[in-house]
Amino acid sequence: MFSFVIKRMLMILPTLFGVSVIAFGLIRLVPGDPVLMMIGERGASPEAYAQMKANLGLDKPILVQYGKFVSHAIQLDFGTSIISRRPVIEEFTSRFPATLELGLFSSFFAILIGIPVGILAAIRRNTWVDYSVMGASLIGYSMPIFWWGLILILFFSIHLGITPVSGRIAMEYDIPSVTGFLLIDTWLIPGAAFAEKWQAFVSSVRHLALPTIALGTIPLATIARMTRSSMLEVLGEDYIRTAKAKGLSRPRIVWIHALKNALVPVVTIIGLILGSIVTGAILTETLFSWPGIGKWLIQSVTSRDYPVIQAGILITSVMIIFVNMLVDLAYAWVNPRMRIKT
Amino acid sequence: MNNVNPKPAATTPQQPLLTIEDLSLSFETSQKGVVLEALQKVALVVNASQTVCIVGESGCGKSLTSLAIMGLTPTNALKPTGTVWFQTKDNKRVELLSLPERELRKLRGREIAMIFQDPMTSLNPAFTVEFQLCEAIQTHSNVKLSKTQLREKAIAALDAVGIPAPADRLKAYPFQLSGGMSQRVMIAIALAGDPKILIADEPTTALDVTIQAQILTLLKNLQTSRKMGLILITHDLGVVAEMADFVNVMYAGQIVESGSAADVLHNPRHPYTQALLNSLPALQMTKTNERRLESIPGVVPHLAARPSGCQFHPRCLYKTTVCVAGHPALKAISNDHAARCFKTEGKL
Repeated sequence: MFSFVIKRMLMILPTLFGVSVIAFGLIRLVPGDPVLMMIGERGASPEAYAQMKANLGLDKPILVQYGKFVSHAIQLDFGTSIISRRPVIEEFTSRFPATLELGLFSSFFAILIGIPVGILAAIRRNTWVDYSVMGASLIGYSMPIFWWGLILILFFSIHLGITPVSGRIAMEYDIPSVTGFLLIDTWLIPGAAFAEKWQAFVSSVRHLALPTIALGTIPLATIARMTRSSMLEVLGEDYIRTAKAKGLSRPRIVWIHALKNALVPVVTIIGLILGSIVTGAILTETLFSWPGIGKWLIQSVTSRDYPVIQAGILITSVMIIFVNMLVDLAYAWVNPRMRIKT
Repeated sequence: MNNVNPKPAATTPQQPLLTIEDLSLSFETSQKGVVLEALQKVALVVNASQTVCIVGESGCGKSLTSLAIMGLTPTNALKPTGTVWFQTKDNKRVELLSLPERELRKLRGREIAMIFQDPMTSLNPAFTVEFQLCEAIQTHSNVKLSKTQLREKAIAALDAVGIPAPADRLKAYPFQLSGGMSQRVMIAIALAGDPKILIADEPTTALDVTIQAQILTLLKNLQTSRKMGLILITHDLGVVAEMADFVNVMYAGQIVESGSAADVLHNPRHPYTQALLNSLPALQMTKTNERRLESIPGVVPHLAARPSGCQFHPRCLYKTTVCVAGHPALKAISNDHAARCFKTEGKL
């Protein structure tokens, strides 16, 4: 297993190289002169132009520029945002926990509900349980995030009035950021009584609920369907008959013998889904005014804030690469053939 | 068989371990009300220390019979009918077909165990040999065993089925084992509960010929030392000659001939048994030899297209008009030798 982990980590390097080339190339591929674009529509004096070009490092040979870009990126220096004039990394770290919180919760939501529901549908095959799970997941799967989010807001926020429409927490709270996760930080408010902490926590949970559902529904439906079909296949295998012949209980057969095998394709799907959660987060955050990097990236695209876009591409790609590596490691755990040579 | 002075049932120590009577099994079809009968009134008896072979081509119902004993018939099959009486370790007589699933599960592995045709797919690929073997040992143990106790027992179990360096093998995953090794592990798992009957469903079909002999010898030795009943399902009459005390020949869901191994192999009274024996190659066969290797024309009829009358008549060399119309019964020829053929009385 150890050598597999090392091997898998080394495989990241070429991917990282590719990503850095794309992020670096982006600013040079936009039509028009990036320097002019940064100075503004009205143009500038040749001196100011040269000054800007030098500032951006665009007067040097392209390989030197790339080397500089990479060495800065490794030091987490992505330059300064054109719009806010603050270092990009600072803006990023202040927003990223919100996205991470949303992403993690949506993933948990999808995985922790999707897998059991899929198993349930499989072991209750061709009963009303199976039909309703499969029907619901088909609907969930076909629901575009922006539309589904609006329906959720209309029903839960406007009609029932039980959840807020937008934001991460009610206006009256000013939670000092410790971990960046509001679900944790609300418990760390200095000098607050338990009741106050609890109320702040509940407020953050209520704000998190709808975005989590909106973002997690498609992954949930995908995972449930995948788990069901994979489980059905595994339950027909010879080794399940062996497990029965051994006199094992039904729950043990399903949840241990069948599940570990059924998870092999499901883990692969989860890897793909976690990548799509990052893109889904951009839509969800815009819809729910969630102050994460998704919303920030959309703003930077519309205002052509190139340093931010570059950093966004680089960081989200690295995140997806990293998540995929974790998924591969999980895959090796469920499938011993991956890590052991025969 | 009429005993003049029958002993009372309670005092006879030599009651059969397993008595199957009138076992029938049908499959539901997509057409409502139409069922296909896969097993028709199968009857057989297994005694302690006895090897009972079930022989026949693919699709004859050999495996289904054994799965019905285990209560593991496929989900699309209807509930089997008939009776399967079984003598448990604490000398209770139970009827397996009417036993609730919960009770039946307690018998699986502990009273009746089973090994299967393809050992490579019968072990769970996601777990180590240790996990799968220790699980069986713990399931059939009345007390909670510690990890070291389980390990010791597992090593002993692997040693008993002739696996070299058993301690090292424990850590292996099934895909790291050869077919013969896997089948040995399967046997170790099956015997973990010290069952009274072992059902071996074509245990050597997927293995090399040399390994086949090893596995059969192992089964024979284990059976003798444990005084187990062994139900051996096979289509290989060579295996039957090697192993069987008693033989049941099945064709199209029925037993067509049953008797001691000597009777059935040397004095076959059903045309199907005879045809099976004739299709057995012999080493001495040469071009100049008088006998040609025969094959049985045609195939086993499909469930949905069973012929009228005797099930075997379309392929039978001796068929007459009576075979097309009437259903022959299993008729006794001598004490325990019986055949399902109208011509049984006459010489074949």
